Amino acid sequence: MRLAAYFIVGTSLVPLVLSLLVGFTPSRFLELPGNAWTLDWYRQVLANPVWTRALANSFIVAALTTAISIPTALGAAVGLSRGEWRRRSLWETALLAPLALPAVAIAAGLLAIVRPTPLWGSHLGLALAHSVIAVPVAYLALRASLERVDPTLEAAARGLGATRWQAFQHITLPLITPGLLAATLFAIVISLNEVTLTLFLATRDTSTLPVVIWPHLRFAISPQVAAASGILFVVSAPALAAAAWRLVGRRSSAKSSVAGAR
Amino acid sequence: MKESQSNRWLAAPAAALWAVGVALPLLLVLRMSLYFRGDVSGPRQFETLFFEPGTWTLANFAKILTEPFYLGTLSFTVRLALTTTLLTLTLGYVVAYAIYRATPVGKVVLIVLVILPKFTNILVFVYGLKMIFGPSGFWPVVAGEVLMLLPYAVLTIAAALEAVPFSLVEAARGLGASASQAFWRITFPLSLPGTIAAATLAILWSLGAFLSPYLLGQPAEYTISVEVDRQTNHDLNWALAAALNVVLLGVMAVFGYSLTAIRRRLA
Repeated sequence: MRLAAYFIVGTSLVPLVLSLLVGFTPSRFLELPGNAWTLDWYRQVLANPVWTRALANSFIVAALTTAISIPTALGAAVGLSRGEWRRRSLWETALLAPLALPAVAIAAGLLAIVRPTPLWGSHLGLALAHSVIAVPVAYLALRASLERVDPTLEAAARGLGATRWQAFQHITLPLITPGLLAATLFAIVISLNEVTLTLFLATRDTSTLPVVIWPHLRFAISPQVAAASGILFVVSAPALAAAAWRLVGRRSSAKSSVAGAR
Repeated sequence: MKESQSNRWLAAPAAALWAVGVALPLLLVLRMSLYFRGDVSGPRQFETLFFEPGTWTLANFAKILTEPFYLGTLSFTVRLALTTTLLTLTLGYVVAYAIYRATPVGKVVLIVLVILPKFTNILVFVYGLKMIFGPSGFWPVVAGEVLMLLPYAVLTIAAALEAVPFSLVEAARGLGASASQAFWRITFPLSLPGTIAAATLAILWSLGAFLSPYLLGQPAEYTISVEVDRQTNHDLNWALAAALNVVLLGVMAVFGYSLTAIRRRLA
């Protein structure tokens, strides 16, 4: 069973490894690098204004998406968990709905809404669209974090004379920092890798890296695209490393606290 | 005003984003599906929205539900979704079970490897799949879809399995059940609600399949979502695109509702 699982997971990573390796091939075709490795394709990508512009757009939109979606999701998480709601689960389902809806449906509707407005062709318009799918994911991370905070702590601070905002700022906020970090990570990764909404809503001046890669994948494939994809991977990789580190860290700290209790 | 009531206002920005970014687009899609196709010729072409405002018609739905091309696309979309879901669940269950039985370190290693694709761009995977499969076709599309869905299926099923105490299996074994008997009589039934939840996610997402059919398929493997993109961005028939979206949402609702009903009955 364990072998089968590692086989499945390993096989599922083969395409990733292949496409990362091809970025270093000296051949003009899709061949794995043999003895000779080169950074030429990466150099070409980073010297071409079309690709660097796309990379800059990706960063701008990811930053805006994070700035919009994290406060929005935090408000929703605190509001839904600490407020009085008659049908909380219904509201929550509605909030999470964008995760189940087909992206092309939201994209087609947003296109018709955004196109006549000044948001059309702006980074902000794209960031708002990305936030539509980033908010539910960030909300899930923040809700999980908030659930672990004892509400009586805030009540105690209030009883000792703190205002609501002070109690939140000095008690709750520090306790949910890991959740906030996770939510921020998710927002950045979602925005950097979003394809469908961006494909519908980006103009030539705002196209992000995946949208510029897109036509190359359909028509002309060259190792240059592998290099561009490689850059996209490198940009998202720190987020993965942070997530993995948290996962490992949490387990080992749980273990050491158990050992300490003994 | 009571505090717990004023706390509700904190959700206002999310509600506003939801109204403009989810509810309004869907309502607009619903309304657009009932428009006539707009005039796409002439100099106004790049300033207009591509439908005829103020009109009402069912012609777009009639077209989708009668023309063999659209019916074929519809049935292919469902067939692809069912194949993808079945494969994703089978592979996902094997990996999830291995996570369930693994040592703490093994669990972390497997989970990190499983979620790795979610931190990279799917286009990187598509590129690699193109190298493996060469010419595009049905199985490359399925492979692309399964790769996209596997992490979610594994995590959902693993969460369901973690809730099954292994002592139950040990008790069954102690009473003389074979390993496979214990699995099929104890572990599997107890993990079934979680597995059906994973199936629901997988089928909803694969019905909306867009990227891998577009990039890894021939026109024979184009799904409804691909057709929506073609009608919106190339043929400039937004009314037909909207009707395709409504049909897709309808199919998703049927599958989502029945699977949820099954899960409720089991739980």
